[in-house]
Amino acid sequence: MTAALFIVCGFASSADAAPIGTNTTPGKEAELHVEGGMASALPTVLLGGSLGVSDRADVGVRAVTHAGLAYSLSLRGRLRLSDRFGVGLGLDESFYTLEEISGIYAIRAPFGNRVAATPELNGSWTSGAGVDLGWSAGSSVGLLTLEEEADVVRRSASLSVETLHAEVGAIWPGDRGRTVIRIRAIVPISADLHLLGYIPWVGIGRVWGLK
Amino acid sequence: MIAFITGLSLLSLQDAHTLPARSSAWSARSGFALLRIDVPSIPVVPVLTGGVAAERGLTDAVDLGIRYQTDLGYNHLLGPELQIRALKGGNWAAGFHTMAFVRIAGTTEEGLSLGGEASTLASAVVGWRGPRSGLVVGAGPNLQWLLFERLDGEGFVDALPWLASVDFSVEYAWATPWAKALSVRLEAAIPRAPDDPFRVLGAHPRVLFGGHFGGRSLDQEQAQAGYPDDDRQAEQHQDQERNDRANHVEDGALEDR
Repeated sequence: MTAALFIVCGFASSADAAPIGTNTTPGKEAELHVEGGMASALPTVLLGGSLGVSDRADVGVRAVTHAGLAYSLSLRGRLRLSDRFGVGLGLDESFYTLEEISGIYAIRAPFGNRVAATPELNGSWTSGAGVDLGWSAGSSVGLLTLEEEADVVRRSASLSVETLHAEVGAIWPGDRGRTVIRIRAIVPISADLHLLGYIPWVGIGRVWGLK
Repeated sequence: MIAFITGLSLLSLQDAHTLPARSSAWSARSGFALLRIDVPSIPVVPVLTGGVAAERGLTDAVDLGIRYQTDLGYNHLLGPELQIRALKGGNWAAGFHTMAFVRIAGTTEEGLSLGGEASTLASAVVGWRGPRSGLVVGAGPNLQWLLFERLDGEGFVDALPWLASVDFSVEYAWATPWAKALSVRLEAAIPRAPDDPFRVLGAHPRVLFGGHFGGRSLDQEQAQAGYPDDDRQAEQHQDQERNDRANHVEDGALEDR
């Protein structure tokens, strides 16, 4: 049980989190993102910022922690193809801040401790009640992983689809920004641990425009 | 793993006010359950939990629905539910809610290992609805009819009925402009097994936050029931004033021409 929770939190940290939908940051404007939530059994905090490159594209950085035990840092670019669809691509590094917990060594955990690419397809629509909704579907593709050999830990290239994810959320525009609630389901692919299910992540966040 | 499955309650007691006939609604809830685990430094663990439900009013007093709930995305519960409003007077209603469900969890490690149960929850619910808010409390037994598991290729089935727990809940909901209602819900399932290792203060507590969509809004419920609503009257008054001003401007424009 403890092992599962630990591994799950580490795994969830490997999933990048972005403001949902196709709404990119407007050109020559900046936005600040703050989000609190829960992934499986641990609280999460996300801090991020993005810069509008044009009215259809932005770039951003994000940091996510899971109770301070695991971290994910990412760079991300997004492109709005239309009002309803968009694409994104991130580069994400995740790591643990502790070496061992309850007999499980972080270096041997099947999740995290790697650099990954995170391609994503985004979508937006408006509900009948006038609520802006967004969705995304994507994956985490491992590029570099940490490996332990004798007394040496080193990075090695390793290309593999680690996870798939789907996400839905709602966005409420306000006077000074947007409030976002999102639910993400993460499905492990390459890890040895295969549950009949998914890893849930719920977050409530706020996006402020910085003109 | 199986102990985790059987020890954790996912039950959710529902409202006493049923939907109007031939109308539909859906809801989504998310929150966390508190579990005790066998680690001294981490006595209580909050576990992400939640689910979605859809329901349809068969008559004004009977709803039929389907519900999916999960803990951690690992423990899954799915089943139909029936809700009957037996009494209604003023803002109050009382009735019954029952749900038959299958709960399942497992992994594909070393073949397929899974476990779960088939159970029913039958509960009594009492609800109150004010001008823009509502409160519902419920209590009922969870009867476990079938317990099953399959580990390392070997199966086990226990078909002896068992009163697994008694569930209590209280939920407060309030109307919003963009949804039928938002709600906060507290649940406590008191397991009958005296050696349940996951209990916190003798129960499996859960806190859930939800959004309810479709059906008839709390405002519309009040309009149907004819309850006074100062806010709505004020809004109607403001709408009338806006219309009067618009007509006045339009009349002025016509005179200018």
